[in-house]
Amino acid sequence: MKITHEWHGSKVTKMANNGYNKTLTIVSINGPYRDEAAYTLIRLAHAAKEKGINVNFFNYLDGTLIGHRDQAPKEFPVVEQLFGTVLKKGLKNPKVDAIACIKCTDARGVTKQQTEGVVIGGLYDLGEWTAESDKTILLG
Amino acid sequence: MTNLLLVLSKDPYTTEIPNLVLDIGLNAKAKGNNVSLYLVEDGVTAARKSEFGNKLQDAKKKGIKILADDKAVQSRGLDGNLVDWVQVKEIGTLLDHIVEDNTRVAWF
Repeated sequence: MKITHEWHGSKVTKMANNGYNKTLTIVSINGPYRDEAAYTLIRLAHAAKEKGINVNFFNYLDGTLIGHRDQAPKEFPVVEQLFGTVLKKGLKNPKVDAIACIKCTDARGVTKQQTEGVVIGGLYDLGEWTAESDKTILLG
Repeated sequence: MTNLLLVLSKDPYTTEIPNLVLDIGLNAKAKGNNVSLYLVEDGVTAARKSEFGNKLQDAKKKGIKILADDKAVQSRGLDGNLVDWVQVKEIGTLLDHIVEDNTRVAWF
């Protein structure tokens, strides 16, 4: 199925659903609960899943706290659970992968506390993802 | 010609970032690029009927397309309080623009 829409006056046609094989890499540098960025990236990931876009999450600096297990905020939705749900939904096409930077997780003492589905990696992985992805954005 | 998508997540009353983003957009537009400004999170407050809303009005007159995230607008109770012409869209629209081949994205 093809979808056509208008973007700055020109017609853009693309494949819908699983015919749409683009990959988006999202780099997060902020931890949860300071602002809405973690929720925004999860909403983007759900929208990407619906549109058949693959998503790579690269959690960097304080962003590595997004996938930290056993979060217990009193007044906000638990970011780790929302993030983990996205990762589980992304096991099949379109895929959702997540890497947390090892230097960042080690520094924060959270390397062994990452939620299921998060792989510990490094900046070389981000380099590869950036090269392979259609787009890389940084939420900061 | 490049499509430039600027995503603004900060409000205009705490930092200079929204002014900077607007300057970048206006300069890019003046150089012949297509520019869109997408307001998310606290960035939607920039489109309130206010001094900054008037700046956005001027930017719109110069051809910058301005959109706002629906959930961010609703969660702040800003329905009906934004400048009339801002396009309120769901996040899938933002994603569509992000992944377009000829669009460059900068997130602030």
